[in-house]
Amino acid sequence: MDNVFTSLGRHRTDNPDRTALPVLVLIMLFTALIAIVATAAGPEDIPILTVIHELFGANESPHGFIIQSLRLPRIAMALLVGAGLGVSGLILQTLVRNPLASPEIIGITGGASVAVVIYFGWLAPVISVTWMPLIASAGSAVAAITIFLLAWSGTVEPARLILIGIGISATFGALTTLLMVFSTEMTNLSAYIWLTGSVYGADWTDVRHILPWVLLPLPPLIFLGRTLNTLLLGHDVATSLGIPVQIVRLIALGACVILASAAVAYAGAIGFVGLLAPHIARRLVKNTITLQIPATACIGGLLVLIADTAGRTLFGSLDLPAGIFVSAIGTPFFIYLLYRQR
Amino acid sequence: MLSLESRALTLGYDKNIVIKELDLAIPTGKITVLIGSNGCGKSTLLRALARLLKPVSGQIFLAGETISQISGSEIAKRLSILPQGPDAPEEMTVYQLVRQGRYPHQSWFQGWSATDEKMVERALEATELTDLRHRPLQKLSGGQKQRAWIALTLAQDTDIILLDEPTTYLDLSHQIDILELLHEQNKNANKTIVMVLHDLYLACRYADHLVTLKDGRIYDQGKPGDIVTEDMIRAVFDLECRIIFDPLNGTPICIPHGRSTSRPEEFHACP
Repeated sequence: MDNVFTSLGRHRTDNPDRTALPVLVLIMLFTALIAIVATAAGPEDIPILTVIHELFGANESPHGFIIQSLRLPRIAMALLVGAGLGVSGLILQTLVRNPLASPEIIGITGGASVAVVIYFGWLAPVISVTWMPLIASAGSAVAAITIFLLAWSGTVEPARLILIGIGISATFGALTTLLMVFSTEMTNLSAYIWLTGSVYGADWTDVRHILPWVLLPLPPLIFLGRTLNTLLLGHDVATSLGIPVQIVRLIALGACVILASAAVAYAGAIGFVGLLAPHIARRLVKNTITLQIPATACIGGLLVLIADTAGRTLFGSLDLPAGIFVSAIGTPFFIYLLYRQR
Repeated sequence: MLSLESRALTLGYDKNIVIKELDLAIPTGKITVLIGSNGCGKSTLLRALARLLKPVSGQIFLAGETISQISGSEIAKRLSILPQGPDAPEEMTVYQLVRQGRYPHQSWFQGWSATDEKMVERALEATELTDLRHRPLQKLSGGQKQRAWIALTLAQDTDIILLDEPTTYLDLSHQIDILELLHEQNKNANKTIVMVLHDLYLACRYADHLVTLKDGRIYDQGKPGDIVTEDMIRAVFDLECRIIFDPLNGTPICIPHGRSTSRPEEFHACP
């Protein structure tokens, strides 16, 4: 995948903007292709043609149930979760003008983790598991608001926000471990799977619930794309060019929190997507955030989808959480990217 | 042409007041240079004039209107500022950077226009970057990079351009290069230019109007030839010096006395 894409992305022309759109279309087609292959793959192999037939609403083959009720919602969930994390990371990296920013760093994941560990340890007998996404989101929101309040000093200074976010994340990490020490082994197992991150068992209801949270922040972000591009020149130059920097930052940060907390609420603390997807997208689609947003959404989705498909097909009856593979594939790839960048 | 002035302007950070009740009228169509010792508030003043810093009290008027009541995008069509040491993503090309200067003139519905393209071309031409347009910023020399940033402000096409130490980190020939470029813009395109400069010689050489600041107030202002005196340098920079005049341009040059390096006896011994 990387070979095809990076060679396209590195193709030198006079105006890099010109290749951006075709590359984006290719990325989208590739995502659709992988989604179809992923639907076909599994303990029960289904011919690709049957899958395509089913996708267009046939629902008559003997595989209908597996495709419609088991695989498709899970694939849709993987794509949405990856898109949410990826775009959140892209916007954060743009706002703080630092390629190492990601949703984990601004505490969204940490807050959700604490909430989920509390849920599994103490609230599970009382509150139904269907409420868990809401509890995780509440944790994210508490973390995000705490960080905003601490970072607020008349304005939101992104560098300050990141530093405070790192501190708060570390605190939440410690709190998560502490809570797990005090809970039983059984709860720890459930909590641990959640902390690794997985889209296992996602159904259409989950997909319907997460869908607006991932899709609604995208149009305003794309609308702000040109402004976010200019924001890369720094607060002073952006202000000189007439951008209301504080307002744009607040809107964009709000969108980041919504995107990432929705993803974390439904799939757990899948790490690395928010860091990796924007990096890949930026290499393929240069210098226009408007197009980088959909590209990052696709690539983030692809990362989670590929990781989840690998997790559920490579080890027979074992269904490994996607989070493991995102890190396992992501880490070496990330190091490779950094190595090539030198 | 647009006027820019401050009235009873007080500036500061938190409780720390840097500029006190300052009245200043920037002469239109001229090059104004702000000088003063480190920490005298010259950069703070420039930032406030460009609405990058909110005044503690007092007002700034752009063409007679209070600047706080004009929308950001309207100001951006009339006044631009190049801050000190600006920073852009390394892989951004010259053309992509300069293009951003058209931001205030564009709207979401009305995309890139022929005027936008023309202004960018003109800015690249004025800064002699036409041939380097597709080069990433990281591959430019310090002088070229600074010219690219100036091209951005030229593309913005404002009557007033403010620059905070535009020649910092450049060697002498590139400093002259940048200042000549600004001088041409002032003479040919009738731009009002206000800048902070550290180098007193260059300030005197390029300023039509020199403003000296001391302890948050204007110490003196006027033509360099009229106001640059040994007394003024002593008062503003706490420096003993002798003023001579540039044999080529007639502008004042400050020769500082050192504590240990002055050698008047050797000088006088020479024939």
